[in-house]
Amino acid sequence: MIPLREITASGETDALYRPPGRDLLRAPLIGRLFRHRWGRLFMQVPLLLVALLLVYDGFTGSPIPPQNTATVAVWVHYRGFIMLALLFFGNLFCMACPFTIPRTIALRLSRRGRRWPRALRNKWLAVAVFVAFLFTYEWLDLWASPALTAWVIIGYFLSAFVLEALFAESPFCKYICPLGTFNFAVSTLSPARITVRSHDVCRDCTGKECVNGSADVLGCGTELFAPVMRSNLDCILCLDCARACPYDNVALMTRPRDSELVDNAWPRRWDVAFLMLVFAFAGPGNAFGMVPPYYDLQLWLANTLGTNNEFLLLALTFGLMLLALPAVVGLGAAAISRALSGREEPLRVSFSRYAPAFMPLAVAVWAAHYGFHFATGALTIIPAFQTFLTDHGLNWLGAPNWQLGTILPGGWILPLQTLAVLAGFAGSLYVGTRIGRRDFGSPPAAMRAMLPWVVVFIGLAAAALVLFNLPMEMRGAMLPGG
Amino acid sequence: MLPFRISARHGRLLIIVGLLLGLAACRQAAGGVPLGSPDDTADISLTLAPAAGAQPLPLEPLTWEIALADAAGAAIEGAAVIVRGDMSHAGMAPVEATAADAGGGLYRADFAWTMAGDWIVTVTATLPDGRVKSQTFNYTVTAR
Repeated sequence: MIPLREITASGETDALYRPPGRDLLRAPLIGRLFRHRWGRLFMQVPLLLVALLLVYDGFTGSPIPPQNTATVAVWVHYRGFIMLALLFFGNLFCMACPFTIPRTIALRLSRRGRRWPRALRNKWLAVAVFVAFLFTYEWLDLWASPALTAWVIIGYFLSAFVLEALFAESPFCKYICPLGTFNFAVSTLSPARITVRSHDVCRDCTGKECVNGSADVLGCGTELFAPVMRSNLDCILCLDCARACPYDNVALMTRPRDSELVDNAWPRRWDVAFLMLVFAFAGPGNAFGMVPPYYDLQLWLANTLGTNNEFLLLALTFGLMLLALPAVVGLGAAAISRALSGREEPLRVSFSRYAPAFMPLAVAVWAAHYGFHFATGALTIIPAFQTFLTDHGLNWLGAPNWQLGTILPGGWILPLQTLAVLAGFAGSLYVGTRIGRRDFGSPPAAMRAMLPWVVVFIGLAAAALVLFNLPMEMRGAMLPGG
Repeated sequence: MLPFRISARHGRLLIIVGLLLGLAACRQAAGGVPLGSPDDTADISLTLAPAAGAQPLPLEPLTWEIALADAAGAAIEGAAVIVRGDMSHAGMAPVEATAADAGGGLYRADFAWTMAGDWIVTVTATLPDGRVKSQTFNYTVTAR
């Protein structure tokens, strides 16, 4: 049994509890599927089969990335579908994640495992792994290698299994998985989240099965306590809470997209706020790796430092762009915001206050980038899969048509990207304004406190618009002789 | 009789692994040649110009020149030659061009890159005797 003081909750009070929207767990068909004991497995098994196919094709198929289902599905489709799912529903990938299928076996092996070290129960490790993953993606040109892509999938399975076997609290999902970190961040804008139908039922509940589990069903893997949840952060949407609750009191409610961003739903912690800033800066940072100025920067760095060591140059670029820059800019903005508002408060509070306001812009930039790849390459999976079949003597789908690719006219993409960034910028201003009104009361004080953050939003939005307007170069090797 | 016992569950797992290995063994390259089979065109020389080298190519149309020769250095005429360019990033449609026989074992194909970046150019030549020679070349294309 997990003591309640151990439960990491996104908030401690339900004073701002909103009247419920529509409970998706009661929706026809889909609600029954979600609540069914094997509902999650029903969604995981197809993805497991897809993952196995991708590993197989990654190792045995064409080494040319656009002709291999592993590279096409992982670097084009996964990233496109995940954005659509997160924006229009919620954390569906974590819900159907095949990497956690061995969880039950791992838990049996571990007999629930040890507690994850207290010093690591925060988002610092998640920040490090997230940045390390983006760095590795560039360094090893993961998009350009079906075999490495297959190893990435295997790495996920092994990491999830080993950590589940050693520790309780699903540490892989909650503290490490870079895909999960990405999904948690975007899901803060998702239109649904876990809550309860009646708080009175929870107050009288003695077993707290939603988090502790019952005889038949595991409790929440990431140890979130449904009645106090106000955020999608850390929720893998496994719905074990709903299956375990003996009172059928857990709900997956629709909500306004901005609800958790403006409701003070996140803990005011350095690690959580910094993660969101890193996520926001990584959007343009990730896109920056595909445009000519990036290669000019690498060349300049190489000449200045007198080295062609790609690891070193990339580590320097990523360290500056994804860690140092958000830290310096965030701390600077927080200090100015505190000074302008005239509040005597810890810098941590000023730093984390406006972190939720980054999310609309950050998600918009990621969506614009991933959306580009998805829109221009969604149909390339068809000839890649046809090739996979014909390689095995199966000609059911005919000869591959390699001219299949885009799902949108080329001329639409840049206007749509621009629209997304501008909408995200407007969303960030809106959320920031609401946060200011909430915390400062008087509009002038709120405006003063928000001013430095608005400058950061403008900088990020401008960077994204400039990047999307530049001609793209899909390059791996950076430097001659490097 | 086996000297050890295999449970039904492990037996099923072994069968699945065996089937997957068999599937991989049966896998063929796109040209229909089983992967891992000996290359019967190893003695054929295929060269492509402009050559893949340290210098990036400009983002502008070009004409490939493909030269085919046998082990003795004699030009191979009458081959069907296709040039295909794939980007190193998944999700990008390839560029394909059919080369015209210019005589003397030389073939030319007009080609236009669709964007800057890393490209993998595959030349596939179906020789008059039916053998298929395929070779890949890596290029970096830059807009500047």
